[in-house]
Amino acid sequence: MMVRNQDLSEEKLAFQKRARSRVVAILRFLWLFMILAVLLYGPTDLHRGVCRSSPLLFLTSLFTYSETVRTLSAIGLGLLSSTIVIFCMIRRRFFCKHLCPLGLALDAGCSLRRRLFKKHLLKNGLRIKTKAFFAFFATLWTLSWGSTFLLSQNFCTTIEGFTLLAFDPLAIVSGAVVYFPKITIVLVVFILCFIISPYFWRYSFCPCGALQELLYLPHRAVRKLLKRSVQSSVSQNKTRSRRKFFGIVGASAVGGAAFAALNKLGTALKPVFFRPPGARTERDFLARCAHCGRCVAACPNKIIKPLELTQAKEAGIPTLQANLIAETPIIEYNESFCEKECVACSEACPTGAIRPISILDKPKYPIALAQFELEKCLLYYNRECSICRRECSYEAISFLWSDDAYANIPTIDEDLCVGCGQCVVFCPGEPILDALGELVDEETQEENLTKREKALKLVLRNH
Amino acid sequence: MFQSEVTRREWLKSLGLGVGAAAFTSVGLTNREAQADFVHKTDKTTGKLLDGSQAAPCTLQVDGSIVRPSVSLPKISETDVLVVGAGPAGCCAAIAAARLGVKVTLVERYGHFGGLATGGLVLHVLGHWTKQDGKSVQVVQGIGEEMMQRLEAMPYGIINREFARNPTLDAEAYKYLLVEMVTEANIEVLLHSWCCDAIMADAPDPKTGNPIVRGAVVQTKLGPQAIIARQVVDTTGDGDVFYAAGAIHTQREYDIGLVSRIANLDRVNPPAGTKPPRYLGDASPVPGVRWVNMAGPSLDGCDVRVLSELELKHRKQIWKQVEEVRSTPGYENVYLMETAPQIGVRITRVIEGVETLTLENARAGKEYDDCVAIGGAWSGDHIGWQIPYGALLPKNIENLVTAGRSISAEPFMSDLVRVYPNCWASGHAAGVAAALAVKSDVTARDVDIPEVRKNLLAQKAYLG
Repeated sequence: MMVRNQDLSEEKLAFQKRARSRVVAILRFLWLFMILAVLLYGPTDLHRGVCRSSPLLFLTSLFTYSETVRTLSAIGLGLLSSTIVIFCMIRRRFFCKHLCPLGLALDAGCSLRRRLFKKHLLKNGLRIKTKAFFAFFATLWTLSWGSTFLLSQNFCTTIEGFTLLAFDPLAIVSGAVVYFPKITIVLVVFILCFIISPYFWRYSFCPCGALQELLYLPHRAVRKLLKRSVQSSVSQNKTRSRRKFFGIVGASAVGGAAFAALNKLGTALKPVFFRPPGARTERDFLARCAHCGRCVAACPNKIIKPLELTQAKEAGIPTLQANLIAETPIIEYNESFCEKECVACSEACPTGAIRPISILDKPKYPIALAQFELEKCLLYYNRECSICRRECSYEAISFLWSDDAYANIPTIDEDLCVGCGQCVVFCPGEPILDALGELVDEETQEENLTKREKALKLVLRNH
Repeated sequence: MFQSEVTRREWLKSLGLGVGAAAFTSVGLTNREAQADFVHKTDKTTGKLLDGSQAAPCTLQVDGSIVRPSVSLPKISETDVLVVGAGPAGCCAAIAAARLGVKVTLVERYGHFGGLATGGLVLHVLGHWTKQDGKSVQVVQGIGEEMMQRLEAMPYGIINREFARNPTLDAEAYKYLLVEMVTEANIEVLLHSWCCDAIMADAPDPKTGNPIVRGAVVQTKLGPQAIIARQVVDTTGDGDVFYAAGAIHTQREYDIGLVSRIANLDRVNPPAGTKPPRYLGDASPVPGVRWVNMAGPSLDGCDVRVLSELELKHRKQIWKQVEEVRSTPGYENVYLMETAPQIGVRITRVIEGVETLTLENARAGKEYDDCVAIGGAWSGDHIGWQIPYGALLPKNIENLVTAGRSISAEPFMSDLVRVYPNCWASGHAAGVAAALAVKSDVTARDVDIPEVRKNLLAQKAYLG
């Protein structure tokens, strides 16, 4: 720990140190508790804003990744994450110190602070850390302008399926944006944290840091194990490479075992909810989704929403899996629909869970499929209506006359329908008729409005 | 057999009148001699044929072709503004024009006014409400609103006249009201006259090179008769005048149904929990009577074979529907009061106008300099869309405007245009424009739009 003031008496210093370590310990404990709570009960409103963050959620999202060695990206992700896990067990806060962009930025902030306050500079690594510092601020700056350029998939997913940002505690920032649209508040809090104590975040608030502390707990045992193996080896010089070798082998083994164990859990996951347009198939999607909430914030029509845990449970998903997929984006067409000329969610997704698609590509990635039910349609009751046909932006609905039903039947062209939900939103819905066949007036009978089912509904497509 | 006898008799008769069969050798011949022989002996004032004279020379079958000899027609009327078709659009046009002080002749193929709103039994007034900035606005006013207000003053004339609600009117009340309004406006009325041709000037318009309409020919019991007019408003719905005049148009197929009315609904007593039968339709202002709409297949509404087939088919269906209602416990007393005298043809010919209404423009709220009306949507939750004068004006014909469902619009917009408050609005505009064209002695194309708008506003129309 750094020394703040040489003039402080030893006693005072010791007291301060003790106090600080106690606070830190309490906070750490709280975080660990919260992580456990999230894993067991799913996020609540309280931790939602923060816990949808990066490495932790990346690791948890791996649990939902289904087929063990199905793709190369799966192996890559498994190796990478398990190697990092191993390193975190040996070196305290390995991720924070060497990989985490936020951690690096905070280090840089620390050095800047010293420079500003004319304190001693760090001996080395200043140049690298200054760069990281600028990268961090550039990111915040672009975020505050509503642009996610630096965080866009072009920047981060240079190798498909190998997503650096899935490790990124910065997702916390963007996650917070969803709930506090005024980014300035987040910025101010960050900058304040910075000035007060650069390590405040890392040691007190970062859930990823807490996870690393957890991993570091049995470090003595791990080291002892490693040392023994080192002592028994012939050459001391090869210790390092040997350690590396063991690390990689161990990581692969742990990763593989984890996948194998959770394979069954993953295969049970079938798509239940509508995902944003361009979303990968459910398993790929869940493996990549960092729960960052950027698509939720980007959607101009506000139809992308974080999946509520209760919703997932109600859909019949087992509790553990429900916890893991909670907070992933789903589409809920309440009052609005997916605009034809919009790919905002795709542009916002940092991990490529939602593929980077263009507006022209959009029809290739249907969200759902519209389905029609004649008995709920005004046409069935000889009323005049052609709203769905008129409103469909993809001209997927045509009316076919049926002599049997003696009515026009809106028929949906499966190849043209993208499941944007426009027809559903505009469908006036099943008429409520009294004994005389009179339409029960919507305006006077508010409570009936909710009972009015739409003649069109959206169903999942079989990918 | 009978038909062929008639033909033979007519054939002999025409021979007897001194026309050599050899003279008619091709279709569309103009034999001046023959023409001279067929001059009608008509009363100059009434246009009636004198005793013993024949309406027109007989159509002849010559070498397998059927030929109609050319003939000069009796002139039944000469007027300033001729409105063909007395549906919602036509009545508004005629009344609006007459109120501007020009002589108006209103031609209708049935014996009553109101077109599909009365004869077609389409009683729902949909399309005059819109939502602007979250507020409901009534965009169709003027003569249409006046009609609704007067119906409101009549017993059982109209129901559901509340704010932002789509009312339903009674066909008989509306028929009566239109008689009252048309007579008040001093309009010359020709009923049972089916427009079968346009009368064109012998030379095109020197400025545009377009053919000029000079009137229309109506088919009557006394044969075809001519009406000469300075301006013609085509509110036939099927575009009979512009079709005959050779205007560029599209022929569309759309649902053709048959509306019916059922009665005794006030004597319905279903046991609790009974699901009401499917064909109960909608309320009408007459107690115990409901009108039942029908979509019908999408076919060509100008094809008599289609229309005939559907009349038969729909009547069978309606009877079946009523049987179905009656077989539901509690509904035994329901009976079929009437089927609509006029089949429900929704969209047929649509003119190609100077401007064309598109759904995209309507949604974007496009504003036109020559906006003469504002239309609304059925459900009333969209913004209003402007109807430019250009949409009523044919591209290639002079002195003719159209109004009602046949105005220039792409298919989805035609679907909105056809509902009758929107027909009221476009009819109103067409009538005012035609009357002003007559008054200032210009073609319909050259009419002063600001003046049209001013007069429309004076007649309480809503223009945004």
